[in-house]
Amino acid sequence: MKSQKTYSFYQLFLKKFKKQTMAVIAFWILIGIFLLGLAGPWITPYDPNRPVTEQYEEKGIDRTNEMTGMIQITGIMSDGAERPVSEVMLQSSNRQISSVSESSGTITITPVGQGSTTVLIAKGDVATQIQLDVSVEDTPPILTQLLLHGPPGKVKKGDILQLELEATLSNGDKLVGLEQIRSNLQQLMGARKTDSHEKNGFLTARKKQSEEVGQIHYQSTDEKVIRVSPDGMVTALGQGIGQVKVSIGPVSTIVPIAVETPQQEPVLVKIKPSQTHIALMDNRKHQQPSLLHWFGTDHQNRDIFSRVLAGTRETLFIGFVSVGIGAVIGTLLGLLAGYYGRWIDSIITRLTDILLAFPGILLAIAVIAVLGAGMVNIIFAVAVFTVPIFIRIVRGSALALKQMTYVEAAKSIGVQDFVIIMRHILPGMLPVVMVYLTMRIGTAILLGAALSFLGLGGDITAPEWGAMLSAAKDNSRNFFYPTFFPGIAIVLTVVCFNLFGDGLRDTLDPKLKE
Amino acid sequence: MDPLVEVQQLQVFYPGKNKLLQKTKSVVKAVDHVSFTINQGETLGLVGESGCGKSTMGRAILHLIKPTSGEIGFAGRNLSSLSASELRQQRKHFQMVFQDPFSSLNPRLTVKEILDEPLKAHRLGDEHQRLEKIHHIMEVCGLNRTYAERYAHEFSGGQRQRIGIARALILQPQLVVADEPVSALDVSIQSQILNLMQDLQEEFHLTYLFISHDLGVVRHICNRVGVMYLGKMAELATTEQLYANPLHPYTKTLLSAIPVADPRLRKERIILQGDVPSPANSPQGCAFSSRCPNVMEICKEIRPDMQQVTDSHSVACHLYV
Amino acid sequence: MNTPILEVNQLQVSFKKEKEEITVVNGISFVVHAGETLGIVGESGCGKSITSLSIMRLISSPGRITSGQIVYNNRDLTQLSEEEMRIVRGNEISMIFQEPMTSLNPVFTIGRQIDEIILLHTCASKQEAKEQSIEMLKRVGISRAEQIYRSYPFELSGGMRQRVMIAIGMACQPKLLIADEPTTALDVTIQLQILDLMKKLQEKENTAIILITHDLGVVAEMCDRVLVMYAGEVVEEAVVDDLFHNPKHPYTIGLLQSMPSSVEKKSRLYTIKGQVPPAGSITKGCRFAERCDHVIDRCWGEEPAIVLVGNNHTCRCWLHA
Repeated sequence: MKSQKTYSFYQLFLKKFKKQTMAVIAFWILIGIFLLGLAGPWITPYDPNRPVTEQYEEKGIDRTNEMTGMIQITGIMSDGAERPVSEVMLQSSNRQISSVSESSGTITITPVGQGSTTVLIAKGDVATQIQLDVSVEDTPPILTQLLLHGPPGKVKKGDILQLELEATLSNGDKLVGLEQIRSNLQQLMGARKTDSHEKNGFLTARKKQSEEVGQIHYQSTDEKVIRVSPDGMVTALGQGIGQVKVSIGPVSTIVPIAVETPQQEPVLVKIKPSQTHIALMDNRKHQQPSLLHWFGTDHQNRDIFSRVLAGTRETLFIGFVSVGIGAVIGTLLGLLAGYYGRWIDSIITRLTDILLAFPGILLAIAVIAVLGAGMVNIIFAVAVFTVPIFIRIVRGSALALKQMTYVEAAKSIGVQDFVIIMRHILPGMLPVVMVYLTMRIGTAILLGAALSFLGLGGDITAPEWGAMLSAAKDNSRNFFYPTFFPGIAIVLTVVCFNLFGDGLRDTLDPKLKE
Repeated sequence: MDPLVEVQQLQVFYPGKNKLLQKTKSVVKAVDHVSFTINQGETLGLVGESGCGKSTMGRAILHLIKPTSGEIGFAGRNLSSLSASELRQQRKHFQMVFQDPFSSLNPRLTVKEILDEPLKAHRLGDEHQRLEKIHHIMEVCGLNRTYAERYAHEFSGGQRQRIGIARALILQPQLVVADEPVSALDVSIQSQILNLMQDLQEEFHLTYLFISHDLGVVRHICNRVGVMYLGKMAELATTEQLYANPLHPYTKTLLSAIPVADPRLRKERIILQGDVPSPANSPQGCAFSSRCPNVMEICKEIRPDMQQVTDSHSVACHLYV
Repeated sequence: MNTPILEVNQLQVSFKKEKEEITVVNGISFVVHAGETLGIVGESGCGKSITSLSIMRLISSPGRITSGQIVYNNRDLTQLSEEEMRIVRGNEISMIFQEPMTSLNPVFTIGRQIDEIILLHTCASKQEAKEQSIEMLKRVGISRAEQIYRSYPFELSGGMRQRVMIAIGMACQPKLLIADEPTTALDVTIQLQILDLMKKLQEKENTAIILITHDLGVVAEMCDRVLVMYAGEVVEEAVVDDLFHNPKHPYTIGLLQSMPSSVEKKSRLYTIKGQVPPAGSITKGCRFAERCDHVIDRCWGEEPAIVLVGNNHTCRCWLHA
């Protein structure tokens, strides 16, 4: 007794609680979540309700380079000279992924979706394609350009020539000679086939095309002058200028061959783009997690990180307010029932039994069905769901505490009922109520999220975790991040509340004794 | 000596457990037609085995349990006729000391808060005066005044019982009902508390109703003793008379059954057969008839009334009619 | 009478509390002879129950026997494996606990619980076990043995349950019965029945009993020899008559004088000042020094050794050294 320090209940509680490592960790995480929730609206990097693209300008972020591709094209003539080309025919093979436009030799590529596709640039018989990846990485190279080398000297009638074919791949590799191209072609096309499979909805159309693509196709423009065999043997038949066109899939080139006539003016044999492979980011929606958007963006291109942050407040608000209301009402009714007993107890207990007979979520849905959707009603619904549980535990512990001799002692002294309740019974059950409160908040958050998820939360575009999940659920197969991050936020919060509640219970339950 | 408390035909019934589909309600007669008086300044002991209704009796006198019927007069006023708030006002005149020193003090309060509660409830004095009173009563009860800021849960059983006594006495009551105040304590602590209670009685001119199952303790502290069995008073006499000349067969067996702390006094004892019947189905006639060694036919049918044998000795037994 | 069946030698038991080892039983030695009753008395926290649990090897973590021997039948029980110990428990040494409410399993019938121990320790068939169980119930004074055999514990009164506990304890005719406060929870008239029963069984079976109690009355009534324990140590050991009529240790004297007696009325009780020190708080000198009225300088510095002060009478006190 002499040297013993005096500990209040609060100090004893702290001493014991500190030993519960998990609960302490959970507690600090919760504090962090609270602070985030409080500060939420001010610290979100983006406005959670507007697409990020609208906000880049105000934030001073320049993403035009990443977002639209600019490609310069030059034409290569049959005499080797370079000339600017314009008025080319442009075609994006998948308009769901990108759109293209051209003005005076500059091609602008604007992505609209994600995936890998090609842009075909054609002028006359010359066609080049560019590989375009939107928010996709590690796509195999494709064939972009072909070039047929013309005959070195003059060609006479009856000559049989073998023209050398050169193919350029999107990664810059060059394949020279028919053999080499053929052997690589199968591989190239095969790889592309599976890739297009994934990213494209129009499977049948593409399949046909890719079957054709596997062939090297030779064609002569003027059969009287030149004949080309399918394996590229050119036979000069008559005088004049013929052209040999070779194509593999959409890519094609021509070479003019003058038979027993002087060369005419050079023709365009190749379109040379400044880049053959262009990787772009899709910024219209579903941007992947990156340094700029830690959690990516959602289907309306809103920053998920900002939305999760902004939703923290809403979600915690639902949890706390609903459980708070439920706990206060439940505790009050439970106290009345437990302390006074008799008919008050009978009425309240029956009421509790009726409420508890409904499965929790059904009860909440029923309440919403009556009141209509909306945040306030969700809170009310969750509160209704919480009340009977608190009535039960409070009534139970009020009954137990009423039996404590010190309550009887207070009565024998002549203390008023109200004072007894406030001084002896309520503080005595506070530990139990606190433990349930923390545990219930987890459940309430889950229920609130579930109701939002079901679309009962009123504004489904509001940054609320449940609503975010609900909105993202249709795309959850393709993109993990719109569902993953709000989901993780819910899990983390609920787990922390539960761990914290467990810790509280372990500290408080076996009575605060040394 | 004037009577401070007059108990007349007191009855306390509890509703018993109803068996399924049973129409008649069973009633547990915890206290059944008991009358006695407690005189100013005396210590009346109530002894009996568990379930005999002695604790219920103590609580009924303080109106902590509402009596089913009968009257309790305290200093000339009928407590049963008072309204709830009048009764609460009156409570400062009669206080209780409880058996379990652990559950009778709220562990969340400091000693000062515990002792302040009765003063606050009756709005006695300002804060300074109350603190003075608290310190005074603590010293009287053998508690160091530095303990005032400590929490009740830090004290040992004996110290707690001192706090309990201090709480009962701080309002300077006339009557203190002590319900087994020492039975939860060790022998060496028990004697400290008993001596304290005796000293306090002298100092404050207290009247005690001392409820105990320990006949040794009762003999030591009480002037008169009532023996209860199954909700009824079996015998009531001064301590000397009761211990020297017990009349009721139950008192005799009870006294005989106490092990005496002297091996030389080992003797043949009256061993009762069977257990105390449950108060829910006490025998018709004399409650003790089912175990009485001297049972007669009449005992099983007619309940004996309290008979005055001498001025200060009454017994409820057909042997003495 | 003079064959020792149990010899406890310098038994030391510690409890671990937050990295600190607190010795709650410190170097206890005693002998139990066949057919005798050895009483162990002391206040709560003196280590008497821990001692009895150690003999049964029922001390569970964080407590453990740190040193000493418990020799039973030339075997050191502290060295036995858990498997070997199980054969000893209930068969050769059995134990009765204070709480007759909680030491029986509420979901099995009384009969099943007695059968269980018989089946466990003998090779009796189920039918034989049942017969033996009913026989056992009859021997502990239960008249409607066959009916009780089929009852559940909640249907019985406290006294009946304690009889059943004794029946379970005695079912295998153990050589040693340890009774830890067997009658504390019972009323005096029932206590007498149980004590009487234990005595009769002991005479019949020549069982040795270790009776642990805080009630000196029960000790005087039942025991042949007595061990007085204080703060984890034996302070005095004597034949029962010597202890009550010629106590030597100031603690024993204090205990005897502070008990209110039902035989004679003292005007004021003797008190041992202060309270029982918490286990492990005193490390130097005599553990009773701060509460002792006859304390001398030597008591504070040196722990007194056990000295012989009479015929079979030892005491741990500097006054007698």
